[in-house]
Amino acid sequence: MSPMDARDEAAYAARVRAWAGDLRTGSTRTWRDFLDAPVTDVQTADDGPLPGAAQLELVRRLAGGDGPIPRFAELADLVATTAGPGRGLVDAPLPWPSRRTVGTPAVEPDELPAEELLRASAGVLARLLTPEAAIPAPRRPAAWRPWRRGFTLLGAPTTVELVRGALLQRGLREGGSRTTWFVLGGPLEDLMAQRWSARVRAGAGLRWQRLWRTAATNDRLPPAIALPTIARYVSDQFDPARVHVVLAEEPGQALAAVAEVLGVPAGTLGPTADVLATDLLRRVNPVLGLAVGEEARRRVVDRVWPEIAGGEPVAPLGAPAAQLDWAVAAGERMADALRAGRYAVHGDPALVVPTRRSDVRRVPDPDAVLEHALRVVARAWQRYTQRSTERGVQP
Amino acid sequence: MARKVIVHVGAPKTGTSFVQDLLFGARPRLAGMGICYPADRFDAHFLAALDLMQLTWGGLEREAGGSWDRLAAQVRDWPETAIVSHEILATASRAHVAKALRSLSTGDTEIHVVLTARDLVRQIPAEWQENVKHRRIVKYADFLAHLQDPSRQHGVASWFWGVQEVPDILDRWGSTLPRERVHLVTVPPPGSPPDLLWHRFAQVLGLDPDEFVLEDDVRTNASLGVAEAAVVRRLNEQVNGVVPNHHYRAIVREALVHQNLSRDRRSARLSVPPEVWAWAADLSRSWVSDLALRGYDVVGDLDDLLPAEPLPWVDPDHPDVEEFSDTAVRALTAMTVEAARLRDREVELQHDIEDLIDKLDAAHSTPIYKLKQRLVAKARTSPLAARGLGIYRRLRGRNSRST
Repeated sequence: MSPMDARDEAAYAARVRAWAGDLRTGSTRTWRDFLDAPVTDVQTADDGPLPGAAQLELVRRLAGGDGPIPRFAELADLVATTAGPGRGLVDAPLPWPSRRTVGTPAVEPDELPAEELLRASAGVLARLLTPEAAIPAPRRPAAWRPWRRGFTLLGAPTTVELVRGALLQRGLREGGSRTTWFVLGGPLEDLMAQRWSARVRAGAGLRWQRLWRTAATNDRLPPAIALPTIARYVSDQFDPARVHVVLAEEPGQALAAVAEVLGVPAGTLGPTADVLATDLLRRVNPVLGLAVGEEARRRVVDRVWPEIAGGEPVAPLGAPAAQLDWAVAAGERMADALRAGRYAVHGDPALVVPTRRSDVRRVPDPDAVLEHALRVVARAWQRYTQRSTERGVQP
Repeated sequence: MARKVIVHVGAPKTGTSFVQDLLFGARPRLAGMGICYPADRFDAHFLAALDLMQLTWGGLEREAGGSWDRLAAQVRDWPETAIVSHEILATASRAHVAKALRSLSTGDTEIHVVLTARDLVRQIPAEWQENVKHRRIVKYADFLAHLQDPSRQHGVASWFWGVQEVPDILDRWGSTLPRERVHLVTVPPPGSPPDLLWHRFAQVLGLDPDEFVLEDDVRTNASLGVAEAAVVRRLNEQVNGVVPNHHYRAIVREALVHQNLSRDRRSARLSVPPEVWAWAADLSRSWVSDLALRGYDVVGDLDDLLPAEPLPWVDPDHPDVEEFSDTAVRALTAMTVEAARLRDREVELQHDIEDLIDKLDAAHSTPIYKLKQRLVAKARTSPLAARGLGIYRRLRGRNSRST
């Protein structure tokens, strides 16, 4: 293979732009197939820097997604002109008959690692979500209803958020001097997943494995999900008869148990963002935070992320293999402590102890996260174009 | 006269901290000469580079939002010459470069790009050492294998080549500029006068190098030896996941590495094994041939980029046991001294707190304050009192919830 000269460079650039033009029509042809096909005139998007393999492959995967995406050509242009944020391959070029002597080696776009496409997706999502920062958070003044029963929820963050929303909708009030305390929990791995999700929504770029490694190294669960410690504290501070630990496999069951104690109808809960959404958000966070600032990022994530990133539930993650022994021991300690508490426990404390199943994923699968990212980009784009239309501006 | 913007884009481990400290310290003098180095803190350009390239850096990126746009606005507002300098800019993609150059220009701007470069054989161990100082645990043999992997898909390799592959960096930053505005400053070989690099860099800036006194306290990244690097890498294995980044920066990187181990290197210099030397030398020769044809303004000598004779090879993955344990004891000593210093500071702060508590107690011993305290306590058990307290606070219209 001969080294690339200036003529080759020009021919290469023209062909890459032609492929970009082909992709923006919604084509899913790979670069390999495109190179084999006869050269045709295709409308090209831009004469700025050449898009890299990751950007173009992301466009191709979006075109092959679940359903048609409105104004796809504009989305393709946006993706192609969005630099991959952070660390990774620098401007990965596409294979070409002549050889480059310097720079990132050429790579077939459809053979790029999922991590590279996720990096490109994070940049695109940050760009699509940036205008959301200008929308102020709605203010919901709390009505003062002293005659209503009061509740206070602690423990598993996602369950707390969902149950809290459901109870407030039913007109119950939060807090108050005669509040009933609920410490919500479930299987330890689910508690950790909820804690992970809460940390990531709060801005952390934390990996699932890191959360476990830190807990195991310190031999301490994150305080927000240390159920016996929380329950003991509120029992010591207030009346233990008003403290209930609720252990449930999923938030709907927790709501039913809480509602029964409070004597109100339970109802159903909406879907939650899962581990795929959390693993995607941890990649988007730093880019979005840089673009809009931390406070606005938090606001955007609280308001928009559940809407665009909620998906079909996937199997929960297990504790990473390296920490599984510790997880089982920590779960057993937690179950024993809950059994010995002076408060009511609803559900079987044995539920918190992780099981040593082999059919469970113990780290997020980048390919599954990428598949989810494609859905999230499509939804974010729809929202972005709707907002642009409402404001009467071009996206 | 046209406005001029000089963008110094790296590379890391080529004396960039030294140049940046000098420019930062000389801002008023430079301004008097019509040269702006726009920075209100020494790491302003680092934060701007993080912002431009959307890079995370152990949480420091949280301070970086909007900093590139602010830096670019200051550059655009300056009527004469402005300098931007940070070594991580070397890894910017073409899209980031296009954004950077666009944002620094006002139409009549003459943009110059400067890259300081050092021979690859010295850069390889220096970059591994930098990885170790940034709490990486990758062994040297693995690091070298990642660099030689043609796919470059490991994070270590993509970063290394992003900031060290001289011809590609100049391609990315210089492809839209006239060749004479792309300046390659070579780092002199070992044994050269210590101020020679500054003389070369000053030449690009159009400064008289002798007008600027090189102070002793400007930052220089002194090197770790084989045993020192091995100890820090092993320490990283133990503290990762336990010590948060902000503590690691202060305790390990600053107190242990910069203040102690690198100031007192007692073990052999980090080098590369003979087969890696041969590979890097071949690559360096091909770079030099390529660069010689490009027509850039080379300040120094392209041959400076060819490696000197190999240093004796000492493997940091298998250091001499005695040297390693001596270094570990030195590290423990340094950490003990640092712990004692922090303990002294804690005692001082404890005294300050006790003084403040005495003052608070005096303020809280008045009858009115005690009455308020009783009412607040009552509000915890009495809904009526709680409601009254709520009304009082709303009427008072203040944020304080102390009484």
